Amino acid sequence: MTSSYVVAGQEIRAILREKTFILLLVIFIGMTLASTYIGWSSAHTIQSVYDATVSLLMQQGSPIPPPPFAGASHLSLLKNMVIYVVLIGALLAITVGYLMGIRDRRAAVTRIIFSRNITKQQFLGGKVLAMFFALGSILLAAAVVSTVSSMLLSQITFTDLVRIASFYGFSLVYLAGFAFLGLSFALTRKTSTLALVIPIIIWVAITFVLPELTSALYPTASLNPTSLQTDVMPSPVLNAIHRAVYPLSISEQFKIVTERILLLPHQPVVTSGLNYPFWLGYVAVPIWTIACLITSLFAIGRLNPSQAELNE
Amino acid sequence: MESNTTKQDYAKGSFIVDTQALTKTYGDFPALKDLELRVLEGEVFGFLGHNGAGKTTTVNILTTLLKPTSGKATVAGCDVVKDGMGVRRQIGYLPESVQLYDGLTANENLEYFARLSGINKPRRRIAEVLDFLHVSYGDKKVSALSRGMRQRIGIAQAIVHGPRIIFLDEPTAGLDPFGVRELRDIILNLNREFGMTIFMNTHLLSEVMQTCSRIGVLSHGKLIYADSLANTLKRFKDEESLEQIYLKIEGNGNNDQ
Repeated sequence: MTSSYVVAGQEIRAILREKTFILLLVIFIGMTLASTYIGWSSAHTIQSVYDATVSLLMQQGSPIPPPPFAGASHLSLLKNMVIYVVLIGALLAITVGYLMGIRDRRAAVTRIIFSRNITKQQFLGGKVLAMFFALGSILLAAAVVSTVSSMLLSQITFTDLVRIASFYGFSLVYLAGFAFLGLSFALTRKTSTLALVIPIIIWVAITFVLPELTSALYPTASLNPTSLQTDVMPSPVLNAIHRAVYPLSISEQFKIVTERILLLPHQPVVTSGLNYPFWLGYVAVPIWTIACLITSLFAIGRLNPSQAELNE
Repeated sequence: MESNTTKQDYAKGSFIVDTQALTKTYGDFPALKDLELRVLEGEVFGFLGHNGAGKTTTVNILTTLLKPTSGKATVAGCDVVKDGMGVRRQIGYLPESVQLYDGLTANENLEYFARLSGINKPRRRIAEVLDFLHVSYGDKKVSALSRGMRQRIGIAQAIVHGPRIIFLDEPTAGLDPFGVRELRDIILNLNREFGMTIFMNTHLLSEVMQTCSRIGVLSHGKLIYADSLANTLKRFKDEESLEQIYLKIEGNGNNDQ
């Protein structure tokens, strides 16, 4: 275990000096801040329009519609964060995993490392510890930014704080899967380009392709968690594909779970004939992460320290 | 081809490297064939051979980086397959064309490798090693160092934990004559002052001549010659240079096959 801590310490020190990582970190934190502001700004605009409309309707003696945000969650300001985690958060996680896996191979020090008192499992353990530390720190910083900005722009309760913490905790589980993917391919591919491109292709498939076969039946749902307006029944073939793919559409599962956590308007992504239990996402996302961890275990098992240098 | 004198010496000594019928194949290609190699503790052993002879494969097996297909090898009394960690605790290793982490300083690199070797507070030890190697650029980033400077840091990582034996794979590759001479002095000092056994893969016969106490010649995965340098020079006294001796040994060995 001590060797794992040594590797973890080295990784943390190295990643904090990576310009790519720092850039993505700044973007992520910036978008967290922007998310709250955009949420507040749109709500503020809608409320202003509503207030102006109410004055007009009162002058005309017309009936007044209910306020647009009556009963809405205080955390609705964070609704864009769900999308940011799925998009830029996952890319950040892939980058973290990739950098941690490729660094030793690029520096051609794998032979030296494995001529020391360390097993492959301890080595991977160190990388995983560092990865959780890096992702955890990023999400913690984002959570602080979300909390402070929500406090400034809205009234949040202790329960809301717990929900924010749960949201970022679940995001960590989701993002860890992508980091494991980045790590796995960085440990095994012959070239650094391939090591980065493959997990990005998987990310594209999970984030954009699979939702096309599920929530894209409702075109706005794949981009924004807006309410379903119509209940479209696809063809039997699409129905069958939908039924098979839905549990595997991890980004969709993540969105559903986190929307529940943040008490955002629930957005059913299956037609009424294809109901899956609400807890599916709570199970599917951790399974995804565990599967990616197992991939990393296979990758480290396949790593040949005597031939681990990159072929470029 | 091993002299009687050497056999007698070896009967008395304790081998820090001992291989028995060590074989490694890559698919159908035999990289090592029944290698029987013995190195005494405290000697500077020069392992010679043409490109692709199997020298690096041998070092990879002896440093536990690669598993043999068959046969047995022990380093410092530990089996390389059954007790890999035991071997690792007692060896240092400098691979060919050492690169290290470019973005870290030399000291940070050394600190990492020292900690991986179980040294919890390595700074004092690193300072001692750098002092021994006359290195004053520990605070510089590795990316700013010349090849010769990097090689010294490479040597430092190999000895920072005080191993009994260090394996050097083509340590002079890419160095200028000044760097080669510096490295030669370091190797000799390590051997004389600390009694470290040096196992050196090399092409440079001039370096073998000036540093090694014993040589082994590997050809097509087989050890075709092993003897002390003094005995070798005596036996091939008609030859003008070590280069000619080497070519003759290689020629004889290949004819024997």
